[in-house]
Amino acid sequence: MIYDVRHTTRYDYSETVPICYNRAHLSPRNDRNQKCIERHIDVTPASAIFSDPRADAFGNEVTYFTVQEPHSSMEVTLRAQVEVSPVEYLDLNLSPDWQLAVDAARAVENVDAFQFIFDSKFVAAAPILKAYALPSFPAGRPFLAAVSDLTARIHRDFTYDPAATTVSTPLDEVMQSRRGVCQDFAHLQIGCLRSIGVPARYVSGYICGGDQTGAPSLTGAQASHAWLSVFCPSFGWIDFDPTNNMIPSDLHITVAWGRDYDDVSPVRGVVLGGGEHTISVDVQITRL
Amino acid sequence: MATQKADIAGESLARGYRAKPGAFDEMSDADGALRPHWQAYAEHIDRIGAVEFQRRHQQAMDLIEEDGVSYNVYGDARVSHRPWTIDLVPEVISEREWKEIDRGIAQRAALLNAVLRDLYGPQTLVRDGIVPAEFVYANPAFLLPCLGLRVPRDRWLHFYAADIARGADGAWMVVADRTQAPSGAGYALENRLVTTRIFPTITQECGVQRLAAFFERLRTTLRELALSNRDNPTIVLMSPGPTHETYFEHSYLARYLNFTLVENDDLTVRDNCVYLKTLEGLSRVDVIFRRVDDQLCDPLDFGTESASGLVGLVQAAYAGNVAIGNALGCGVLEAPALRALLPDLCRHLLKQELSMPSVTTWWCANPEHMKAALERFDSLLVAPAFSGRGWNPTVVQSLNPRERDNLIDAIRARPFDYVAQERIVPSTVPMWTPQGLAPRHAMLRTYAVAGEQDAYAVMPGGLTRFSDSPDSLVISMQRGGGSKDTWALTSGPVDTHTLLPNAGKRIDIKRTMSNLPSRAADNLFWLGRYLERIESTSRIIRCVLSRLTDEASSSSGRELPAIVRSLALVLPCAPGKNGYEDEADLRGVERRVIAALFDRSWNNSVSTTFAVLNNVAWVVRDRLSLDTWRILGRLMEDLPDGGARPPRAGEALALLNQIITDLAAFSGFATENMTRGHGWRFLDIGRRVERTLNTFELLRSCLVIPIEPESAVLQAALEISDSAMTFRSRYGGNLQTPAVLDLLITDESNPRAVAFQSARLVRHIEALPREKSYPFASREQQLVTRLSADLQLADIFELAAVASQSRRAALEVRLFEWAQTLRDVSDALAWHYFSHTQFSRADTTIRRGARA
Repeated sequence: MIYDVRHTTRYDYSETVPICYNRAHLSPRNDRNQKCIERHIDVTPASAIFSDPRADAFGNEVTYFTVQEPHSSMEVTLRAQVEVSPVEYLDLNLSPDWQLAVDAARAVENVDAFQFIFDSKFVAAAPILKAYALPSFPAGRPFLAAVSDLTARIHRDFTYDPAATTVSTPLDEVMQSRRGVCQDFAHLQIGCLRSIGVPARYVSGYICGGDQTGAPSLTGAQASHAWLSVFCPSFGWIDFDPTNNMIPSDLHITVAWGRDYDDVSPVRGVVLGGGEHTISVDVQITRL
Repeated sequence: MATQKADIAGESLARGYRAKPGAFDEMSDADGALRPHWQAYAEHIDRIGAVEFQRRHQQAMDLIEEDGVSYNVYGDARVSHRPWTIDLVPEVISEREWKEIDRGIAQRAALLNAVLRDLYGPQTLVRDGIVPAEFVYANPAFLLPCLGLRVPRDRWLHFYAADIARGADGAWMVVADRTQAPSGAGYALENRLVTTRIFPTITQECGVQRLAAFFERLRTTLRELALSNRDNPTIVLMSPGPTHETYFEHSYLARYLNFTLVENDDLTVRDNCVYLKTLEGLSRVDVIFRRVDDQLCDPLDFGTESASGLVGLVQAAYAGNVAIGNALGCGVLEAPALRALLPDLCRHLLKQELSMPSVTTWWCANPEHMKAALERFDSLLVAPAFSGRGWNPTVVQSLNPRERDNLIDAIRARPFDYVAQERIVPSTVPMWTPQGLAPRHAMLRTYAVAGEQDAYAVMPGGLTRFSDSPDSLVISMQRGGGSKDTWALTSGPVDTHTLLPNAGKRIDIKRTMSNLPSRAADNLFWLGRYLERIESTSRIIRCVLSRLTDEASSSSGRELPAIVRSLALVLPCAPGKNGYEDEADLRGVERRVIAALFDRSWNNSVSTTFAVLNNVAWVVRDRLSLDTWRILGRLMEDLPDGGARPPRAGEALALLNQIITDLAAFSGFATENMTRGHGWRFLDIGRRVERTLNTFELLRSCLVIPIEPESAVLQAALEISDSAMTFRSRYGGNLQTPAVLDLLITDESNPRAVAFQSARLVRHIEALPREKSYPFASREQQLVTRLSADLQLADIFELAAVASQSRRAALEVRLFEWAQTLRDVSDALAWHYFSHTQFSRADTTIRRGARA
């Protein structure tokens, strides 16, 4: 499956901005079932100065740019073509006992996975998260089956509601209100998993709405999407999407992963002046 | 008396010392005998004697006070600059022992550098299980954005400090590692300078190693870091600013090492390069010697809430356009957990045993360590594994059973968050007291700088800090206590290296100062304005108070009320409903005028202005001569604190005279001692602008609406403007408004006249740097030239004429216009020279992305 991705983020400022510095996590990753055929990032004002793209600590391609002339709006557009193939069918019940998975994550050879067990800026382990997670993790249950069950419960118990949260709503508020968006649900499930000792990472990307195929409409297609990935010994990293209660396959396009949203926020910036700003986002995913 | 004095002088100072039982004493051994390496020192001070020692002690305190050596104490709403406390008795370390310390610290610095290189590079230490992954990933000081960063010469740690202490058995051990921006080396240097000024020959006689070569090495190391302009790199010392506890040291070191002292706002990143904002424009920075903590360095990559820091610094470092010492991310090794790993790391990386041990530390991330720690739990201290500073360890023994259980539960829940360490009783050092020498517990901060290849050079000396009472084991400058010079003895020749210019080498003659940072110019400008504002307000208050207290004058008549009423615009002493008819009203005036001196709640009171001036002066203190600084210090002492009892008129008058004299001394130093560079120019521009605005305000208040008897008001205006003598010599007692206006506005020969100020401003502004390619006059030039011409052309008689409604309308209009023009000049200067962008005062904010 080849997708054409167009993702525009626009900032409008109430006052002129003389200079701003930006960090973008927009280029889709190359991964087991995904190949980024081409990608291009455009910025207006066109005088924006780019640094050479490089890999960040998680291997994501990160792009830095500055706008050094006075401006009152800025637009960042990613255009990309990405080839995604379906993931192989997984028999979740063949995965190891979840407690063995917890132990294995601590083995020295899995240190790259182990780093995702610790608290990060937006996701910290907490007793309330552990309590929510535990019913999915009875003794002896295969690890991936347990995670899948947790994914389904979050999907069932929480309501998708863009008005309920902001970009920095803390997890305990989401737990209280039982509302949020894909970012919140991904953080929530990561928090649950870390609380029982399982490494989990945040995945930022896109989801194809499915409207062209007549497939059921999927939530999160209008903006950038987020889900999570867990580390399972002998299976590697397996993605779960709590917003749509599914295991991502060829409808999901992976851009970047990190400990949480803060590591891979699509466009982050530091702005001198500018007063108030508004942000608008447009995501178009077309199947070629 | 005489015999008592002889007694004190007769007894040996060192032999009279009684060490504290139960601790290792640096000077006397277990039997109370002097240790051999203290012999030379003891003889020297015995020759001096107790009485003389006490005198010199006082002399040292005065020196420190005068030099303005200080240490900022947190916790006050206002930062208080507390004088540095030094004890004149040094910590003396024998040659043999110093060699061990030297070896231990140099090895440790090299080891830590090797660890940093790996943790921010291939991380084989983590993959091989030598460093537990928790050390990196649970450690908030590990900066993920720096993973993979390449630093010049692959050297991360350029300047390192270790706190070492001697336990009861006499062995030295490291109790803390300082790896991001170690403080105190400047204080160590200042302590040495004070010692040698007070005892000029003592360090030579005792064979004490000198410190200068160490600082020279530091300078060379930083210079060699440069990736650009390698021949003559621009090096800045980046400070968090005057509110930081060790800001004095930042300015001291910057001056000593000849680096430009900067704060975040002095720098900007453009095109992935770091620039210094100077009067001449943006100037490239090649090396940053930072005193700013890791996480405050770049909000784009490190910050979430606070936007402080130099935005884009990380990216500039990645691009290889700036070198930073220490490299970003070094703070990761300040974690106390490191101490538990070092013996293995040393064997693994250096194939050596750790030469100087750390205080025994167990990191509970390792189950065996946790078990060992819990076995001897009650004798230990417990501390967070990752937070090196600002956290007091818990003394387990001091906990009640419930607290103890809670602590154990917390450790079991998150073992990697805790270390346990042995409690030590640091050794004691003798400290001078008027009663003789007394013991205090002490700790030594040692320093190392990167040298050739992977080696490190250790400062032969350091900063010894001691507790504030004999029983206290807490050694912290934040909580009392003091410091002392540290002597590393040598039997060989003393290195005579000096950072003072080499006499043999032909020197390049320079007439200009290095680029003046815009912020320094901005602050000098405001220093000038505040000084003048204080003088002006003081003169007005003095004028009113002297009349209130002068029994002999005719002030009980109509004069005083006229003066008070005419000053209503410039003082908070507007008349009541009925004017100032009776004695009670005048008492009220006295109270309010004195409030104008002391009341911190009034924005323009002398006391308030002093407080702001204090802050501005601290920022530019590295640009003021020592003498000038002393005068400022005296001015600040003149005023009692806001909370004190308000003085009576007589006391206030004496104080005002003192303030006005000290201000004159300051002007004298500025006139006679400052080179005519841009710094001086901005200081003077500030004074001239403020003086002109104040004169306009004074004339508006006194003369726009004539108040009878006008001669009394004119006399007051002349006095406030310090022009009464000139007037009398020209006109005698004939007080006429046009003559006064001429003297205060248009007479270019009167240094108090407005025309004099504007003529000076024209000259100053012409001399400022500007774009050479721009052939026209700058906006500030146009404005100030127009103002000056307007003043020359002013018709004094027209201005003095009283028009309809008993108002000098022409004067009112012109004063308003002139003041407006001058404010425009001031804004244009700020725009052109201080901000480099119209928006410099705008807040920096972090803009989060869209929600996913």
